[in-house]
Amino acid sequence: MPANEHLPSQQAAPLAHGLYRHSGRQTARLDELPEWAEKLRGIQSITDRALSVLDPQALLETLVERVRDALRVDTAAILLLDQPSGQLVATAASGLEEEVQQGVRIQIGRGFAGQIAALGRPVILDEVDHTKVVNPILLAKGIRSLMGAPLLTDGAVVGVLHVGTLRPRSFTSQDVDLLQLAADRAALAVQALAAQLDRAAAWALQRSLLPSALPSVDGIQMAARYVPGTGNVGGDWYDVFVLPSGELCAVIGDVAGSGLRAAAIMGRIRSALRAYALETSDPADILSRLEGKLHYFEPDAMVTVLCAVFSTALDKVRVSSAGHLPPVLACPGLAAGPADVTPDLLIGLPDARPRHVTTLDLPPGAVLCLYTDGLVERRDRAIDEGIGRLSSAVVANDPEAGCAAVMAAMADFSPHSDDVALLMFRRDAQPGGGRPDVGGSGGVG
Amino acid sequence: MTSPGGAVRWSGRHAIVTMPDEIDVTNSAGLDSLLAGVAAQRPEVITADMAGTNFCDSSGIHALARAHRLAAANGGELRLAVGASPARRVLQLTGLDQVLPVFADVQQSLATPRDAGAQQA
Repeated sequence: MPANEHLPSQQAAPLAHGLYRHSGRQTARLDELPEWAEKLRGIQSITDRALSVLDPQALLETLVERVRDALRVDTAAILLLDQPSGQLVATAASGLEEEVQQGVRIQIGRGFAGQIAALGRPVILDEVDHTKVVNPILLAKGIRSLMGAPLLTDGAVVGVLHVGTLRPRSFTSQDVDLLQLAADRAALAVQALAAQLDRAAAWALQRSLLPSALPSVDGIQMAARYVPGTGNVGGDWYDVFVLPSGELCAVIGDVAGSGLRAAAIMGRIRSALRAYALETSDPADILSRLEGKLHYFEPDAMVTVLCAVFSTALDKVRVSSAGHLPPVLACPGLAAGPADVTPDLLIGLPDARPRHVTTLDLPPGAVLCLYTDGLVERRDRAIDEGIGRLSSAVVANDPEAGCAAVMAAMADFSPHSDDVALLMFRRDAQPGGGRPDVGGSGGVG
Repeated sequence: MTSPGGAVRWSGRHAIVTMPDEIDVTNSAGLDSLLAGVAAQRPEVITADMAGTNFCDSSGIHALARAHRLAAANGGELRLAVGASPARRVLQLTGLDQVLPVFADVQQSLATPRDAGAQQA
C-alpha cells in the first residue's frame, strides 16, 4: 500500500495534485478494518456534534470532507432535493467545489445523481462515460469512477451523496455500506436541522410581524399579549396602526396552519391589510380587497380575521369579521359581553358574499377586547363558557392591567395549548383629547 | 377515551365521514388528507358526522372550510351532521354554517336530496 494512503486527512493532497494512488481493484482487507471502523466512528460523531450547532451548511461540508477522507476518494458531494422543482441542488462538495459554486441542478432520473434519486438505492459506476453522466463538471474533472447513495427520510429521497475518483476504481460492498451510512446520517441531520430551522425561522418571523410597540394615541390606551402554543408556532397575529385620516385601525387574525409557511402567509396578509387600509377605512372593504388578493395569488390560504376601525373621535368603532370570534365589549355600568357582530365567511372560500360592517358605540371608559380562539376554546368546556369567562374578566381598567387580569383568569379557567393573541383597548374615561396623535409613534411594527 | 374518527361509509354517491372526537392542530392535517381522498372520488354529497365531536378549534374550522372548497371544486357538497355537538356553536360563531348545510343527524342529511336547500337542523 502506498505510504500516502495513510496520510491524515488534513495532509491529503489536494485534487489538483493528483492524489491517492489506487492500484486497480480495491478490496477491503482485514488489516484495514480497524481503520474502517475508526472512519465510521468519525462520520457518526461528526453528525452528532454538528447537529447541536444548527448550521446545516457547515455540517454537510464537514460530512463530505469526512466521507472523502474515509473512502479515500477525490471528490464527494451532497445534492439536496428541491421539492417544488424536482431537482437535486448541489449543496456541499469536497474536491468538486465548482458544483456548489455554479449551483448545479440535476433533474431526478437524469444523469448519475438523478438516477440514484429515481431508484432510491446506491449506484456504482466503475467506468464513467458521458452517456451516464450529464454533469459537465464531473466530465471536465476527469472523474473515472463514481459511487452514490440516496439520502432517505421515511423512505423518501431527500438528496444524494456521491463520491468519485480520478483513477478507475472498483468500489467494494464495504465502500457502499460506508457511503450509505454516511448518507443516512446526513439525511437524519438534514431532516432534524430543517425542522429546527423551520421552527426558529417561523418564531423569528412571527415576532418580527407583531408590533414591537403599540401606537400612542391620545384618548385611548391599549395593550396586547401574544403567547405561543405548545409545539409548532401557530398562525395568530395582530396589528395596530393609525391611518392618515387619524382613524385607528386594529386587526387580529388566525392563519390556517403552523410553522414557517403560516408565518410567511401571515406576513403577506399583514402587509396587504396595511396597504388596503391606506385606500379605504371601511373594514368590510379592507377585508374584501384582501380576499380578492388571496383568491388570486394564494388560493390555498385560509384565514379568520377581524378588522376594527376606531373613529377619530373614538366614540365609535366599525368592525368587520371574516369568521373571527366576536370582540368582547365592556361599557361602564354595563355587564361585559360579546359584541353583537355577525361574522361573515372566513377568507379562503370560493363563496363570494358581501361583507358587513357593525358599528359599536364606545362610550368614555369602554373597553374593547379582541382575541383569538386559543384564549377561550378548551377541550373540556363549551366555547360560550370560555367567552363568558373572558367577559367576566374584562373590566373597565387600564389595558395593561386588564390584559394581565384576562390572561391570569383564562389560565385559571383552564391552561391553553393553542397560541393566544389578545388586544385590549380602553377609551379614556374623561372625553376630551379625542383625536389620535397622527404624527406620533404610528403603528410601525 | 377519544376516537380518531375517519371511518368512511357510502350510501350510493353519498359519503359519510365520521369526524374525530377532537379536531385540533394535531389531527387537522390528517383530516385534510382524509376528506381530500373522499372528495377525489367525486361523491355528490359528503356528510361530515360531527355528532361525536366535542372539540373543534380554528384548525378544525379551517379543515372543514378546505373540505368544502374541495368538495365544491369537484362538483359535490359538504354537509355537517352536528347533533348536540359543541362544535355547532363554533360553526355559528365563525359563520361557517352560512355556507355549509347543517343537519341534525346523518339520517336527515341522507333523506335530503342534493340542492333541496339547506335544511337547518
